[in-house]
Amino acid sequence: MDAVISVDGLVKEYGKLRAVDGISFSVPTGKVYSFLGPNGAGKTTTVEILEGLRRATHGTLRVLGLDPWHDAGEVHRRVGVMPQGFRFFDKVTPLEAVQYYGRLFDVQVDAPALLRRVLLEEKANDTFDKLSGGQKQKLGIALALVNDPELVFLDEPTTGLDPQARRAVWELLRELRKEGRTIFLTTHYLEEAENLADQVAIIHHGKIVTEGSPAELIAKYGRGPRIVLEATPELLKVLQRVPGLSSEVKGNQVEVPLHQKQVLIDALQAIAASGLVWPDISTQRDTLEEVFITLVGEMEEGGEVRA
Amino acid sequence: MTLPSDPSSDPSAPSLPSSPAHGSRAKGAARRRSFLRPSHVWADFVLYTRAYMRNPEALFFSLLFPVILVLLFGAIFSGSSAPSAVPLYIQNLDGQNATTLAFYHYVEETGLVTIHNVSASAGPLGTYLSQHSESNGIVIPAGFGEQVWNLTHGGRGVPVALQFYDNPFDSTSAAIVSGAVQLALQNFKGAPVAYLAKAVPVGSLSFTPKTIDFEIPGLIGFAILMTPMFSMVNVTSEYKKEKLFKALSLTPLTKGEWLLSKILFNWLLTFLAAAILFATGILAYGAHVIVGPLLIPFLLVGPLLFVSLGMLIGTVSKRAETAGIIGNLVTFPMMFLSGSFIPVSVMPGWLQPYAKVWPLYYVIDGIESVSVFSDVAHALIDLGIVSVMAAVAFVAAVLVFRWREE
Repeated sequence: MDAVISVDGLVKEYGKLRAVDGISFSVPTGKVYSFLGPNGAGKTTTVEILEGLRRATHGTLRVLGLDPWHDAGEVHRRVGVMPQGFRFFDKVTPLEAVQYYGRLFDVQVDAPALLRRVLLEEKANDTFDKLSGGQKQKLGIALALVNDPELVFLDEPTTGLDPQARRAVWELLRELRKEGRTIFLTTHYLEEAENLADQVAIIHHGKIVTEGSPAELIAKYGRGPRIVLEATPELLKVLQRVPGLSSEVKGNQVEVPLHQKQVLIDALQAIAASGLVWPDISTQRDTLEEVFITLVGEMEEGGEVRA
Repeated sequence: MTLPSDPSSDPSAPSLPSSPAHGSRAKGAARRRSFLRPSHVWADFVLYTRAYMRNPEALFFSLLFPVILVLLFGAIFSGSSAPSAVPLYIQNLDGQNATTLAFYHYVEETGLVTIHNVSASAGPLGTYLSQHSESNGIVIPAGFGEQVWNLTHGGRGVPVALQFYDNPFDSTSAAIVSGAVQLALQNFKGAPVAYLAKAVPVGSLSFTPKTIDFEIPGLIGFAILMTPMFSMVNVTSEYKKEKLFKALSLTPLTKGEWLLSKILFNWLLTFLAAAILFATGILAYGAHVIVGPLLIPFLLVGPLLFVSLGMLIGTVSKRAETAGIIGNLVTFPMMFLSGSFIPVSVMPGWLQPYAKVWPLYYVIDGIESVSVFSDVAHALIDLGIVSVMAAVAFVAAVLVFRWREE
């Protein structure tokens, strides 16, 4: 599959500071690719280099087959960008903003329809300074779509949105993907990446720590699905005697990985045999969030990430 | 690179409001990239103008505030003659001739000048003036009174020339002196104006200027300075802070198109302000001002100069707050010293050279030359100076100003 973005050995230095430290990745056409990382990890710097807003210090990169710094004009015509913390002119309305972008991109744009699409129709004639944080973000997304882009960069598009609005934006992003557009999503909501991204790269200290689909990453770094038993002190004593179970006791919770079938059966039989009241039983699996916290935590402690 | 699937051809996908073929649009646009596209300039101009009109504070300072100042100054100085008397140094080489003494009296009576006598023994008047840092002087040659008397009583003879000294860069006071002399000579019926011989020609005054006549060019200068300067300091520093330049640089709008639109907007506002100021002065106080075509280049080059200066200040300042402070530090002394409110010609002699370091001085002096003195030659000198300053500031601003960071 064609890569819409390909990056090899990208470095960005500000004096002695290496904000981006030799990262390589590629984004396949028509997919949602997500950059995850703590603040200051180098996400926005990388994205701005891809958007042609900053110049790379070293490395080769192609966006839609073009050099984003030198061919910025053409790249900008074919990509849509919602910058982080999107701002616009205070005294301009969303309707005027979309029409303005339409004129700049030389395209016919049905501004009310586009605003309806991002759920901003009701505020179409309010000036930007009167919009809430979430409504401003929505205008940012609308403007990123004016030129009918092949590739859309969204830098933290749902920051500041209420849960309902966030879900609505997710729905919009799914539609955009269905239309064949490639989406480069920067976010620090792990749930968002897990829900939307086909491919995730976790970036920290300017380096890509790991990359893969959310499911792959969870499978690789997570602890896998498990049964959790909420035990009383009496029941804990019973369970601690089950072979292979003692190490899984945390407080009054006992966790048994699903793949340890025999241990699980032994545990359940021990509970039944004890005649005690059955504990609350639930199943759990790691989310991307737990994987992320684990990986970034390992990096912070100076250790290397498990391969 | 092409889209894997054309969204418009996918019936299940809700199509975006626009979907021209990507490839052809991109190629066409790339070809046009290096040009200034009028449609982009117009779109940005319309958006900016609309937003500006929604900002009552900005409108007040751009259009209403100068009008309030005209009304205020007009009321304060209503009916008073010249801004205040210009010092005039007269060296009389004609002794106590009665006609000469009458001429003295008439010059003084105009109220336009304050006469200082320089004795014949003081040496050449030119040297005297430069030693005393003064610029306006007249030498009355021997035989002047007799000649005037002869000519006004049907006699014949060659007119005796008065010798003028003035500062070619201060048309205001030179023209006031010239006006005072001409007004004085009108008392001698039949005395031809050919009596006046000047080293440097300045326009003639056929009326006694009132303070309001000087206030209008000053306040137009004020409008030319304030809006372009403050709006550009503000726009460039705020856009940088709010990352609006970044957002704009992601569209096909170019730096040149954006800048041209801001210049057009400031021209519009300056022309509006000038029209309102002229109208207010004429209608409310009967100001005697000439609205000539030579005003147009001043109303074009002036805003260009201050748009560029404002942009320079906004761009080189790291923070928006610093830009505001630097903007004020440049604007306020320039406003007061260049003759916006008080004509430079009535400032103390030692202060006048400091007026001439500010670009606004030449704008106001030029507008005054056109609208008060009809002195085209002098106005052209000012226009030349302003144009050179504007060109330098514009080139510097364009070179320093960046859409994107390296």
